[in-house]
Amino acid sequence: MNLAPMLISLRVASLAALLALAIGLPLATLLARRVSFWSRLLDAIATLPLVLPPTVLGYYLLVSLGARSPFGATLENLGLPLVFTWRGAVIAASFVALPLITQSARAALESVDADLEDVARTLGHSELSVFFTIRLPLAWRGILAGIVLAFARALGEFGATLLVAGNIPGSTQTMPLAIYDAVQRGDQAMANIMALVLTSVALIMLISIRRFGQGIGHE
Amino acid sequence: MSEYSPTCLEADLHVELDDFPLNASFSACQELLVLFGPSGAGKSTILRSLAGLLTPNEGRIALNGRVLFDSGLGINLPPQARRIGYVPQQYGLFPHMSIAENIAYGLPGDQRSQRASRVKKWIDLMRLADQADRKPAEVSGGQQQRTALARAMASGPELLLMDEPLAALDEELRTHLREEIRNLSQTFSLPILIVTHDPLEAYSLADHMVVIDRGRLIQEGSRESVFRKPATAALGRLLGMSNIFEAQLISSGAATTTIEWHGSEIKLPYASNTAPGLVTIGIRPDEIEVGQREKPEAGTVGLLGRLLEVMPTGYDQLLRFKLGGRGADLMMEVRMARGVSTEPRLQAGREYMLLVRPESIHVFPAR
Repeated sequence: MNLAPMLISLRVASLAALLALAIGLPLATLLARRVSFWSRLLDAIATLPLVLPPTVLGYYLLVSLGARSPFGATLENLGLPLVFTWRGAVIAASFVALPLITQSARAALESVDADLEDVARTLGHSELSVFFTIRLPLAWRGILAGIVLAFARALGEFGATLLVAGNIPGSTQTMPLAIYDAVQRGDQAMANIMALVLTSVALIMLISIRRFGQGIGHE
Repeated sequence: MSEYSPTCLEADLHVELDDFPLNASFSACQELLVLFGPSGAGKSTILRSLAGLLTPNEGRIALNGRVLFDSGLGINLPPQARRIGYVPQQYGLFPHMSIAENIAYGLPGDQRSQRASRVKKWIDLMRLADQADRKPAEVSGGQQQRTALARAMASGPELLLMDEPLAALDEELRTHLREEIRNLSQTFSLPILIVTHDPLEAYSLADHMVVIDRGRLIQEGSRESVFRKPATAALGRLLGMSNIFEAQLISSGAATTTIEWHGSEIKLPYASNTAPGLVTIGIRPDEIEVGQREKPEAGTVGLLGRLLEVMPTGYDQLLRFKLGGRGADLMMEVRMARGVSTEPRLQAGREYMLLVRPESIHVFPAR
C-alpha cells in the first residue's frame, strides 16, 4: 500500500492547524468581548471560509498567490513557490480551518470570568501577563478543542487544496485526493482502506474533543 | 480643593451611566465604610472607578495623598499602580492555581525566599495551612473568602474593596468573617470599602455608611445614624423601619419636636429641621416593647394594640398589631426575641400595651 498520501496529509493538516492557530488565536483575542462595526466585519470575514465553497476560496488563493500576482512572483523569485506545492496545500487547508479555531478560541476566551482578569490587574499584573497567566490557561481546553477541529477539517480538505496545490502524487496528493484518484481508476480496495482510516481519525478526534469538555459551543 | 489627610480615601465621582448620571462624593479613613443601596444604584460603578477598572467622566480620587485620578489634571493611574485590593462577589479566585499560588500571585517578583515567607505569613494569618496546596474548588466557602482576603492583603494595598463579602456564607461563617475583616482593618489601619444591598450585612460590617440610590448620594453618616434616622421613608423601609405613618408636626424647637399622632401629642427629644405640617414618621419594629394592659411609665408612649398574628422569622419573631383607640386603625409591627415571649404569653386576639420611647420615633426630613 502506498503510504505517501497519508504522510502528506498528516504533514499538511498539522502545519495547517498550527498556521490557523497562529492567525486565529490573536484574531479571537482581538474579537472577544468586543462589539463594534469593525469587530463584526472582521468576524464575518474570518468566518467566511466556513460558508464559502472551498473551490471559491481556492480560486481566490490561486489568483492572489499565483505567479502572476506580485506576492506570488516575489515568492517565486525567492525560490519558495506556493502554488502546486505542499506549502500551497498548507495555506489552502489553514484558511479553510481558520473559522473553526477562531470561533472555538473566541468562545473559550469569552467564557473566562472577567472578574478574574480585573483582580489580576489590581494585583499589579500587566495586560500581557493577565493574558498569559489567567486568560489563556483558563481558555486552553476550548482552544485545544478548536485546534483538533481545525486539524480534522484540514485533514479532509479537498476543493481548495486541489485548486491551489493540484493533485501531484507524492507531492501534493493528500488522502482525500488519493481517494478520488483511486475511485476514478476503479481501485476500490485502496479507496476503502483510506476512507476507513479517515473515518477512524475523525471519530477519535471527536471523542477526544468531548473529553476536553468545554469551549466548542459554536460548532 | 480640600486638604487630603494622609490616611484617607477621598473620592468625588461623576459617571454618565446608561440610565442616570452617577454623582458621589465621600471619604473613608481607617474604618469599615459600607456603600449601601439597592441593586442597580451605581455601587459597582463606584467600586470599579476606585479600582481603576472604569474611568469616570469627571472627578478626583486620592488615596493617602496620592492622586489616583483627576479629570482636571488628566491623571488616571491604571489599576496596576493604584495599590487598591479588590475582592469581587464570587471572590475571583483563580481556579487553575492552588490556594498558595493564588496568594502569591499579587506579590512583586522579588526574591523567591522573600516571596515564600510572605505567602506563608498570610497562609498562617488566615488559617489556610492545611489548604495551601488545594485548588479553590476543593476548599469551603469560608476558606475561599479568606484566600481572597489573603491574596488582596499580601500585595500590601492601601485600600480594600469588597463586593458583598458575606452574601454566599452561612450565619456562622458570617460572624467569623465579620471579625476577620474588622481585625484586618484595625491591624493594618486600612480603610475597607464594602458594597452591599443587604441591610443585615451593612449593619454587621459598617462603621460608616454611604447610601446611594439611582446614582445619587442620599445619606452619609455613622451606622447608627443611618439605621435610626434614615433620610427618606423608602430608605427606612429598606433598612427595616417597617412602621411608617403620617403625623402632624406641631412645632420644632432647639432640642425638641412636638408631633400629633394617633390621637395624642408626643414630645420628641431632638430637633428636626422640618416645618410644621404633614410629616412622615418611622418606628423600628425592634424598638417597641410589648407590655400588659397597664399605665406606661412616664416618658414612654403607650399604644393599645390587638395582636393579630405572630410570625416566627428565624432568630426572632414578628408580631403584627392593630392599633385601636382614638385615631384611625393602624398596623404596627413589633420584632421581638423568641423565648422571651413566654413571659407574658402572647396570644393572638388579645390586647397589649405597646411601649415606644419618644426618641425612637423618627421624623423624616421634608423632601
